Amino acid sequence: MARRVDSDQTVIHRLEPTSARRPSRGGAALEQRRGPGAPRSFALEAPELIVGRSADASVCIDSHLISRRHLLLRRVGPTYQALDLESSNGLFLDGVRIHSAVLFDGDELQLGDVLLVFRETGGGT
Amino acid sequence: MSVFVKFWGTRGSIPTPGHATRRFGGNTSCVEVRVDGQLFICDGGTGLRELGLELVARSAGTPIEAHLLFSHTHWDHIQGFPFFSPAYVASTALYVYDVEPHDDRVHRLLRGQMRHDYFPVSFSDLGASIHSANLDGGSKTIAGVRVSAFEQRHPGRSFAYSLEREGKKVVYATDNELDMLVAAPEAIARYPDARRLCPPEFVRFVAGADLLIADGQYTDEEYPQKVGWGHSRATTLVDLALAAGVRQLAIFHHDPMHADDEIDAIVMQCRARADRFGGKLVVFAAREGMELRL
Ligand SMILES: [Zn+2]
Ligand SMILES: [Zn+2]
Repeated sequence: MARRVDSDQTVIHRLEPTSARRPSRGGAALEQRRGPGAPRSFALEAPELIVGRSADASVCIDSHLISRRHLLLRRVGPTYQALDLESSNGLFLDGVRIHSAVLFDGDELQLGDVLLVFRETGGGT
Repeated sequence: MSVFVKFWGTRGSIPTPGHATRRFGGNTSCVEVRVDGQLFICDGGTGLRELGLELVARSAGTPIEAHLLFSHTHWDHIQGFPFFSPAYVASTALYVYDVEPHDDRVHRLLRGQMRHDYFPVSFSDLGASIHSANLDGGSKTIAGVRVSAFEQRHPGRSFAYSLEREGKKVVYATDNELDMLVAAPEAIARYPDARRLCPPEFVRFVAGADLLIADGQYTDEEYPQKVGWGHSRATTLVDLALAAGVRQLAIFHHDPMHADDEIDAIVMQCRARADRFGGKLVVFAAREGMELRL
């Protein structure tokens, strides 16, 4: 399950240049920058997580622009793969509509009005 | 109808493992195109190895059938083939295409790169049925998909391929020096901001593509030192895509010298160019492991 962390401490970050992207050491998190509930952050720990509007989604975001089960995050090695679960409004990675992609630090995922930034936190799990 | 496109290798020339290239990837050219379950593989660079592993896992024992379209046979486009695990499975059927009838050059060179001097397993010991096929000189319907070839400008020549079915179109056009084919190339070298006119036959070949995957190895600054090497400026692809009414442009065949942040900079430059010309075009850099559904 995702654990919500420092939900009241997250601030809007400036988009970092790639050279400032951090290398992976196993831990990962999603920062929600836009959409209902933002700003907040979710630590990713489970091998598979669902992001969606459904109350039983691992990461539940209450937006009518996202599907009940919108996005699957699946652990692959030190990082996660993002997979669109045939959502109505699609999954966008850095502005491109994708079916799936392996995520790296700083990647921006857009789901309806929700903007999530993937973070490799370095806190191994 | 469903069309899926997945990038298994996006790098040009030589694999580039390492931290600086991890996001766009280090494997050389290999793109999987699945049209209603029919599998087409564009090029067999080192990315083909991981595609093979995934195909074996996905198939769960059912026979694998794949149509292989090679842009050309430079190393970075064939090197993954000896490591393509489905080729070792007896129930697999592979169709290796040349363009012209009676030509088996690609099949022959795949065999040749597995001669004992280069590789421990010989082609004849592969378990799969590996057929030499062709595109009837330019265009053929394969399993309901219209596949067409277009000869490009590249040392030793190369081919672009388009795959079409029911109004969906993917074009794979790598290893092509488009900048040698634009109108008045010398003037364009002096005025990089001017719009570049691409050959009308090629614009027609690409026209209306939902996705154009194309060689954009060089920046405007690098290209003058690389004239004749067989690759395009990424910015020229923008002009081609706009002229051809393409929806999405995937910049491909990344230079082995380009780290991830340099590829980001190329994308930014191309997006700015598309905006400046008022085009509605999605531009991105192909990245290993990324899959699109068209
Ligand atoms: Zn190449
Ligand atoms: Zn080449």
